[in-house]
Amino acid sequence: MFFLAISPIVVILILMMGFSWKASRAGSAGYLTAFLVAWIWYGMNMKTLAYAHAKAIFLILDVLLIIWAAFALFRVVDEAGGIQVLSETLPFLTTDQGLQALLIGWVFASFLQGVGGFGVPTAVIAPILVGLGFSPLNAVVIPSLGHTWAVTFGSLGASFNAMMAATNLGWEVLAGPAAIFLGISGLLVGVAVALVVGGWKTLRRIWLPLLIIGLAMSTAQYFTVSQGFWTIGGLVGGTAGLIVGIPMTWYLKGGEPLQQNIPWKKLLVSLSGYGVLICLTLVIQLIPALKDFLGQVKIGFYFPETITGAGYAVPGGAGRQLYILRHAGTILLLSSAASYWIFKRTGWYREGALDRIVRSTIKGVISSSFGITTIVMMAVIMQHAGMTDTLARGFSSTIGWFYPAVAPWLGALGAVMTGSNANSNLVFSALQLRTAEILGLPAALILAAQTTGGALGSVAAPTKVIVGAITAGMEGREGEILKKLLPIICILLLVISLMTILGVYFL
Amino acid sequence: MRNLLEYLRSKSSLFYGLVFGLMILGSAGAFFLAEAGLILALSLVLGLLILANLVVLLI
Repeated sequence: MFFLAISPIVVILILMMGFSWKASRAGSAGYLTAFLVAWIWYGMNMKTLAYAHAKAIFLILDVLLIIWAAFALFRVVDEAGGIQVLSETLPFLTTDQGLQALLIGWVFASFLQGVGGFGVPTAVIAPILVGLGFSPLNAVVIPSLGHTWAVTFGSLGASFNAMMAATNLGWEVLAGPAAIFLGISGLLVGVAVALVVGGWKTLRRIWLPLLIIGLAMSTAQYFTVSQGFWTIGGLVGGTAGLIVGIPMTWYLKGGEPLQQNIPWKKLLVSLSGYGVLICLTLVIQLIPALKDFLGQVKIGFYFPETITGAGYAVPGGAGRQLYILRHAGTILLLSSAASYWIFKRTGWYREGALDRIVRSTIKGVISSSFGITTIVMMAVIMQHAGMTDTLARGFSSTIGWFYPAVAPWLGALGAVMTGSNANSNLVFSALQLRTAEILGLPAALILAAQTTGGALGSVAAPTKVIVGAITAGMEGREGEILKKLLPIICILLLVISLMTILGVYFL
Repeated sequence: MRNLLEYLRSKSSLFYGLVFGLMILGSAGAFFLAEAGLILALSLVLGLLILANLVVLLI
């Protein structure tokens, strides 16, 4: 049953990486495999399959609203020449590609993850890096890696909140170990970013700013969350990185003299959309009364309990709720509208700009929207059939004392399948907790490994890879991105495995 | 058949858009059919989703 349960994931990975299929086609194959395995071998009847499909709609819309809006924001800025301005201006801070990658692809990506998340960092930064002369492949890989460590406490703590909800454990137990694991991951992804840019030569040149910025971000996040402010852990970490990183990058200058004529006004206008995005996110998330008010408008359904022919039950419940007015996609759309208005007022648009923005946005997201739809449906069918459960139990029961080393890989697996750290935590945290209890292991460390693995694995999720690919002009070449990302993620996961083993048995 | 597949390949964006819409609307419809207990109609809708994805594999 284990091999049947894992077959949809294997099919997608083989087709994308081995045969360079687009995610949209590979997603269809994965969906069909999951459907047939769930129906024939796991005893899902038509009714339970229907509920799984319906639940998936809310997850799909949750993801797609952000992708559509992020792509629209990018097109609004690009149509006005804003990306061009950024591309011409950012090298004034430094001409060193290693430092550019650190500042934009690591620090700024972490900050964006802190305030927004949900795939926004890669979607926003990949085109900027392409404009700065990075190869499209590196432009996707760098921010994809750079923001991973901020995923759990980013998006204003959504993933961490999911883990608390799934385990019924408080932040007092979970926050500290998770922040330590993620903080060390933060330094490691900084190293990975430097290596991706220019190998060991670049790492040797920029190791000191990397270490200082990394320590600043990790320490800020740790102290914030360990004081109970887990909602703004990622935000504070990213902000600390910017506060330390910008003056340091300016000071180091990439070894060349700093030019004086930085067009500050043009730079500010070109960044206005992202400024509005940050401001709106902060206002909505940090003012509880406003957040509660906007949260009154929500879309959701109550789904009954489902039981498969094999006896696997999924309890009834409200399913995923869409808080439309405070949704990250809505905030991105408002930012797009505000940005469009600013560019229009400042005369940056040529005739027919709006028409071109709308057409190119629709054309740019259609194929990827279908790919995301099939992949999410596959994941939800697997959860409802009990295939996900089979996988997790198969991994854990056969491993025993070595389980701490496997825990981050389970988190990563969940994130790859479901597309997010939050979903992975919802699916696997309770199982990880129970397994830790059975084996007599410290639950906080196992769950820290779970969410760190989920954060790292989420960047290899096909849905996120598609987002990066389309924003960097690599649509249809998602396999190349995965080929480069997966080995790095696997090395990072091995380090987390080792840390978990050390933490569980030697501390 | 070959001509039809060639035509769909040439209009892949439109085709993906249509199948995307079909998946969303079909899944929503399946929920209501399941709630109403119309299992035969529900099977047809889910069969249609499978068929649409099989065509995606072919183009």
